[in-house]
Amino acid sequence: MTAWITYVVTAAGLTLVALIRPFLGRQNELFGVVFGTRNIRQDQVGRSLKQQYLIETLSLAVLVWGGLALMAWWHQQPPYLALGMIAFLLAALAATANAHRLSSQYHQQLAVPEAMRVSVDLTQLANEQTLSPVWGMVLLPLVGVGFALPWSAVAWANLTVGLVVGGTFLLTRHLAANVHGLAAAPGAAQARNILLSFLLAVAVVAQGFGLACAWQPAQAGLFSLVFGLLTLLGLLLLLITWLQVTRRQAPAGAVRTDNARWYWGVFYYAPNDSSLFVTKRIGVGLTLNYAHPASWFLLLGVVAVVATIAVLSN
Amino acid sequence: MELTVDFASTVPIYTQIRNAVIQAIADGRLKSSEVLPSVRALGSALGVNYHTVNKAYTQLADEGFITMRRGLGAMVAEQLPAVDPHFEAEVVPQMKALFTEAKVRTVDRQTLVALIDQVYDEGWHH
Repeated sequence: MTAWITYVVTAAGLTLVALIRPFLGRQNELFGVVFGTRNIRQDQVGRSLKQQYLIETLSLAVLVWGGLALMAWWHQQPPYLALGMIAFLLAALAATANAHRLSSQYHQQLAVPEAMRVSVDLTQLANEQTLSPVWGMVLLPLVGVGFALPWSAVAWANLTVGLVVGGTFLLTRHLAANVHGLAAAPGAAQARNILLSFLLAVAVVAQGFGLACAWQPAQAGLFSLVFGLLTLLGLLLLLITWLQVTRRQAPAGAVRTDNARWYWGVFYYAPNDSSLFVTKRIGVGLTLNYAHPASWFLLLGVVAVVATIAVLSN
Repeated sequence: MELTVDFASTVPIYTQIRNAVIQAIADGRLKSSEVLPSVRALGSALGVNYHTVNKAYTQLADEGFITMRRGLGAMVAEQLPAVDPHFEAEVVPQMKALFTEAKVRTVDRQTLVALIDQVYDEGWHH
């Protein structure tokens, strides 16, 4: 029964995320394609592309999640959650790629010019409010607590969380918007600070969750529930504040879009940009610049950590 | 103070950054000891490699227009450079090339001087 509940909740959650992602962008962005200063949100073609994406993604969700549930029911076995997640993520990626292709075609049809002159305000940039690196220290206390107590496995896990999140935080303190130009992405600095604060908060909560589970293993279910609720609350707050500072504001100047650097609107590949992280085009969050070898090492590192946790938990 | 980079230009980006900073110092938009953004912040804002910005800053520092201090970042130099052998070594070959071309194009000295005056005056009213 628990397996079925987990399956349904995960399926509903992932489907919901896939459905709302394209609606979180700025006014001039449609499936990873930026249309200069043009507001594409109210555009007829833009609307119909979004409708088409919704229908495609919903159909794929029903096909993948429903199909696997049916198979599990037929064989009297719990549903294959991991398989469903992989299959749905691939299906959602295919739907996004298709929508991006159609959006790119529309962009070409409109012949939106690319701004070749990019301006920045040096004074504003020099005085820009970035989160102090000292904030990264919030990840240390619970690592210390882990090592001070006889739960070494949790201490190492908390140290890993501290290193990964702390490293990401330090590398992304100056993260710029994914378009360039003076007032091309208003609110980008605030949005970045909100995102980084969320990242640090979730990491600290995760460290606390690990310690709590090691301290009272019998209460792990309750702790999971609290951790899940806190993360969900944080995510909700992140979404609301992010949308307030980005989605409502229109670009006020020339926009260098760099559309050609975004593959399927999802993968960023720019050898001339030394940023390791950039803000996502579709949805909310960060993504890697895959032109950097470091990004692949980071990706492999995360896969290795996840695989190790999966093996150890079995 | 606005800094503009033209990605369609044949002038290298680091030279454009260098020239824009000197132009801003010349017309008073950048004052002595004014702090410049970090290499990382400017690189991210322009969407260019940090090395490109670093190259521009290093050149500006070598020429004495800015100072770079560890931990404090880059700032416009308190004492701006005057005419020195380095400046002459840089400028004279460029002037020679320009005057040679002017001669071939039969631009007389008076016209050339008028052009220099015009460009020189425009420099303070960017």
